[in-house]
Amino acid sequence: MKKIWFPVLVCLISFSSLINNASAWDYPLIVDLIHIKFDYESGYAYDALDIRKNQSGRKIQADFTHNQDDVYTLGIVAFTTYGEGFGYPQETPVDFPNGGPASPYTTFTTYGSVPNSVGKRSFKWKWYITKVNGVPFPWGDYLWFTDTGWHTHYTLLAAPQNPMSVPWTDVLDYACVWASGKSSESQAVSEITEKAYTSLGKNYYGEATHAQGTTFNLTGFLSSSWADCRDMSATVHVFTRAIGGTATAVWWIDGGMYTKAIKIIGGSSWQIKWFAFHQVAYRSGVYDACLKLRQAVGVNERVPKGENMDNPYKRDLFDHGDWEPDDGSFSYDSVN
Amino acid sequence: MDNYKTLFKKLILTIIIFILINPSIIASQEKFLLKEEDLPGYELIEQSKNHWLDSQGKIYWAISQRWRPMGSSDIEDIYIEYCEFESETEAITVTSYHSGSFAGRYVWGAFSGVIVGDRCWIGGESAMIFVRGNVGIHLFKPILPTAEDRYTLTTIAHKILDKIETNLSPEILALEEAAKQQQIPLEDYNQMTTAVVSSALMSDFSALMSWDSKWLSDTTTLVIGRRTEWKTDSGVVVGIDISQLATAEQAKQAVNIQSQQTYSPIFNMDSLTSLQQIIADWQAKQKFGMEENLFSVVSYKGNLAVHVYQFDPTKINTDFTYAIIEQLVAQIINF
Repeated sequence: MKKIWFPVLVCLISFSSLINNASAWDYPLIVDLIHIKFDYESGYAYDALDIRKNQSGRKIQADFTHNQDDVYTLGIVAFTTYGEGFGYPQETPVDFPNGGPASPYTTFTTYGSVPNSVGKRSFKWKWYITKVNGVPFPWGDYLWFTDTGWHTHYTLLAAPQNPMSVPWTDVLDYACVWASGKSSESQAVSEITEKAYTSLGKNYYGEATHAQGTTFNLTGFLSSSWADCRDMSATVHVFTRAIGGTATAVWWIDGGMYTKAIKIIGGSSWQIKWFAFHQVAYRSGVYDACLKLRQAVGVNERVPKGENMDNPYKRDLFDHGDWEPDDGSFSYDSVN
Repeated sequence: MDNYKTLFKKLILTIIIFILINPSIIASQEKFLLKEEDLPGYELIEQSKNHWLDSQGKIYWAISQRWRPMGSSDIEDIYIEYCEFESETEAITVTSYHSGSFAGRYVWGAFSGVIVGDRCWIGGESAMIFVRGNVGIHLFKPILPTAEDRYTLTTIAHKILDKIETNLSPEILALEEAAKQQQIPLEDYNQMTTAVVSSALMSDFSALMSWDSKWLSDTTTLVIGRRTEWKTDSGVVVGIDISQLATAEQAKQAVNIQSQQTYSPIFNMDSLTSLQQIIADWQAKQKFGMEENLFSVVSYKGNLAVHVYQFDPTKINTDFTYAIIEQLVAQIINF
């Protein structure tokens, strides 16, 4: 009889220790989300820093801690609870070497896709534990452990272009809001032109500039309330390229020229101006955020967008003097 | 991927260069910058790097300051850009080009009629660009400029000039001293101008200010002339600047450069119909801003280069202009 009981006892003890090893944790199970990296790679291949319209499966990384001694892996997932994001982190096993307390950064692939248009959007994620050491909770429950605050993200048309290949948030705050909901460069540059004229709060001043040559002193421009035509054309050009536009440049028109009655940026009345030259943004047509034109008093008053250089743009702007557009457009090559 | 890495490297390099350059630019030009104790009643809102260009597109780094009267809003902000150059001739050449690089027009002269530095241009209601020694200055008040702002800017300009004057390098001073050895003698200058300024035409005028004017006979050669302004109580100013060069060819070249840099047409002293034509063209043009208050022409005779200009706070009287230039030409031809 003793000979029979001994092996049974050994088996029971061994089985019991196996069970303990697999689920040796106890409530309260406290898990903290320590960091989230939206930009964890040196390039833009996968991570969520580079968010362009229609993309899906962007990736993030996060690391965690817990308060247990023997939790080697946690299944973790998050869901978007507020706002509009670019998907949510799919359920992913997070390993804790030695059973805790800290995990290395773990890559999560998001489920869902980036919106189909330019925008500045915000969202919150709610984070849950789905499994502990590979074992789901009873009845498939998830254990909520934290909420993250608002994450703001900018959706671009495409990868940002020179001279703003690494875009400034100051610029995206304008460009993504102005071009919100637009899904093509031509739509976006139109909105940026219109809003740069109406909403940037600049007053025309032709005796100085922030945009001499091909260098745009954007810091100075953003902090001041005056601008000339070079500043405004550089704004349309650089802001459009910051959100991924590739075809928007600037075009120089030599003068001097007397204009017809125009409403210069910041001005409240229609007035004749003299320009030694004029500079506009260009993308298969003129985009001029520096002034408003009209065909006649009260007729077709507009901020020029995508207009043919000669007609109607020159027809409604130029009165007399010299009008000598350069042979081609050019781009700003640096922004400071 | 490689493109992004390259761009990233370029960005890092740019940032490093910016970090290295920015303090050094400010440090090297520190001696010329106005400080808060120099402008009582104003606070320095911002000081940053800016850039000027020459005609070839070469970048010259400048320092930009933004000043605000105490208790005011940004509407009253005044901007000052300081650009220090390697040499005085470079300063004159690049600053002259700078004055012509804006959509708004700059013209030769000063708001008050008082000489400002070696060269000065004014634009619109409230902008001025001037050179003294190897330093170029751009001074402007961009928002809601008024005529009163001109006087504020002129006052600030003279504070900057004081700062530059006391900090000019020994090399600049030595170069000016050397050029002065070739300056037209004062007696000769007086002989050519006295008959004009003491005539009945200018009986209301009195001598206001004299200055060693700076001319270029080529892009690297500084020539010092004599420049005096006479002024009436009502603020009309007449300025006569005469420079004596080694040869007639150099005088011609200096006048060509002066004409380009001061936006002053060239007339022919041997044929005053050329002056009449310039006046007619000037009258025919529709005028904006300060242009109708200023008239400026240049000419040469033998090895003498001459620059005559007039400022009138109301409007230039071209009959008067023609008459005094005609008298001056007679004196120079007979000299």
